[in-house]
Amino acid sequence: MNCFSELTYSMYADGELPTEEARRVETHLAGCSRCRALMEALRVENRFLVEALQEPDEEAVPVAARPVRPLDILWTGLGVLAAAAGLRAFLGWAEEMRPPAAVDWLNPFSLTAQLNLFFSSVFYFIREGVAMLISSLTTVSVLVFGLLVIVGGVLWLRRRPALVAVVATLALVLGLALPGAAVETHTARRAAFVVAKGHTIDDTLLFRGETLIIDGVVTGNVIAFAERVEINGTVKGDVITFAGIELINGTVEGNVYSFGQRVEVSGTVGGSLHAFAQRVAVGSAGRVENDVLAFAGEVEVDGAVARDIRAFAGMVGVGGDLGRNLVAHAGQVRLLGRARVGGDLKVWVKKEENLQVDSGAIVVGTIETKIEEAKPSRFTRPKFYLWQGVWLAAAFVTGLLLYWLLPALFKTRLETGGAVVRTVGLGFLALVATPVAALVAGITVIGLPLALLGVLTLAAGIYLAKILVGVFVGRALRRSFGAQPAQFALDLLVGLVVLAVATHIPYVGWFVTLLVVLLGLGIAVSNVRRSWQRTELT
Amino acid sequence: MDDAKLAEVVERARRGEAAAFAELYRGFSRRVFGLCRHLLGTTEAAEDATSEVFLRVQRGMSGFDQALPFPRWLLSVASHYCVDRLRRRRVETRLFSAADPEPVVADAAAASPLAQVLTEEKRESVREAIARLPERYRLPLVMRYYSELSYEEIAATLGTNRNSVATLIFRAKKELRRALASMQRELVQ
Repeated sequence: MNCFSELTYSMYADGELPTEEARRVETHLAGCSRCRALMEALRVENRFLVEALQEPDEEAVPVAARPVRPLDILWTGLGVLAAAAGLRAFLGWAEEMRPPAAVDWLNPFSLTAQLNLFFSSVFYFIREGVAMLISSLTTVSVLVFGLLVIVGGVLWLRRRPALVAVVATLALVLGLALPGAAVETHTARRAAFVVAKGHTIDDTLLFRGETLIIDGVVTGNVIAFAERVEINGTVKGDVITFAGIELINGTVEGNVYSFGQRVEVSGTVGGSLHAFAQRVAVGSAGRVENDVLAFAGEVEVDGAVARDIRAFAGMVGVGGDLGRNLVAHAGQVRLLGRARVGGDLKVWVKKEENLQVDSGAIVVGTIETKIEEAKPSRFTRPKFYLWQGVWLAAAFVTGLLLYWLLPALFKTRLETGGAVVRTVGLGFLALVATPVAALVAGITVIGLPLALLGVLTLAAGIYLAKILVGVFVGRALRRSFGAQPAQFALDLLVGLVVLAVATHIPYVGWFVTLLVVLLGLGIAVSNVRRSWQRTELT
Repeated sequence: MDDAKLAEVVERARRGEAAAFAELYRGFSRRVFGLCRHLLGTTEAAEDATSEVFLRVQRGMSGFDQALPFPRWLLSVASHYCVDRLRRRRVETRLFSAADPEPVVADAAAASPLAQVLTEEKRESVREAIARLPERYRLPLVMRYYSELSYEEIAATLGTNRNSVATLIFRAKKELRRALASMQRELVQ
């Protein structure tokens, strides 16, 4: 009689042969010792497979994982160090190059140029990016709103209440921000909007568009996102602007808060002027009844300021009448001949000659010049170590508390290089997307609490990032030394100490810090995502 | 959990009692996790899959047929889910075509059963070798010997027929023997 194929025996051993065939196999086995031996071996094999697979697989090696070898770490470390050394050398060279003052704004390492670059990029983005966004905003928001409604519906059907809540909130915020909804009456969203002379708006004016010109009167506040804002008439409330150019030729009775490229006051500001801009100027006819606070590339005051000027700027020039003190942290400070400072003059500059007081300028109080010296290394001060100790202790206690409250947060394992990169990417997204989302939510005013919450969560996340990564590092170190058993507190402590040292390595530390924050945020985000899934289970 | 207790817990979970479901989760999540890890390859993917499988099971609990043993049903749901995920990972949607060419002609005497190799190998390396098997072999093998599903159930999960499953499992074992034998040779050298 012919022997059966091994496939048949394999199926027989699995108990998967039809009865009829199984009976024939049995008959054959009874008479064939060779096949009996094979059959027995197949059964043993099956049992072994079951056993091998069932084994508690705590330490099983996942397929894709390639353990990080000490050599990898060494090479990566050397690479980073080399890159840092190169960067340092370049920076040193750039510092040495002192271009003539006239082209200093081109030097990317000077304060003025940095501020210039910053504002230029910000305003390029605001002009181009936002213009594009706004022009298609209506279409996009209607589409997104529709999509959210559909997604919400599907989730509702699939009974995922937590996600439905999130989607509903998003839809609500978006719905309120949609053109045509909300505070339409006093919201202008046209390219150009003019409050004509003799015309009065008896409420707050919210404007988003290209140009806003107020020749008439606004009794409330003015909030504007625009390319150009011109106030020739009167605003009785505050003025808050995000604008390319803001010109105040008329009167603002309240305070002015400007985030802009150029802010110029030739009229009167009844309150204070707060400006965050590339150029802030109070013209000779301009008058600010309270203080001026400016973060700017250039600050120029030829008009009158009734109280103080505080400036953080590349260049500060004062030629007007100042009621009280002038306080400036700046690259250059110049008091023109016609200037009059009613109080003290207090400046922080790099070199003595960067403060220039022209003859004829009057300072009633004292003149105090502080030279910002290169700080002695912080590593020589005991205070530094004290604070590090405090930070370490606080982080350690927070870490333990967190472990006690949310042990799952520390379970993440990053087994592959890919996983690390993905997690860092996730962290980067969280770091960038949260402020953007908060800003967008904040613009809708109603979303303001949501925006604040988002920013606070991000801040907490950044703090916790070091703790999460600390545990990760500590655990990795312990494993590489083959030490068992796991001790959370020890891992945490070792990891935190390692991070505290690593993040303070000169020139590389900031990069390490960035990486740690990104990785930690990534771990936190992926954990939150996973624990959401799990809480829905129990 | 003995059978009577399990039946009672399952019944309570079927009626939607959260505590009973949590008990099932505690009792079986490890086993499901093990299966997912064998099928998907990484701990992270397996953790995600385990959560998702239990979510599905919770939602599908009312449709569970009491005639089936619960663990078997659970592992079959998990297998389905993992195969779906693997399919979505790939460009081609059909992992297992019903028509497997290449006829199987095996000579009983010439075969070197895995058992002979196994006795000299550590289990560790067996698991490693299984993890390295191509997906089309690994999946049916794990479903058969980890989940102890029948050929019929495996065929339904993979969207193929019973005979292909038999062939795939048979070839998987052959491949495993080959891999282990070469591993052993390396070890000897």
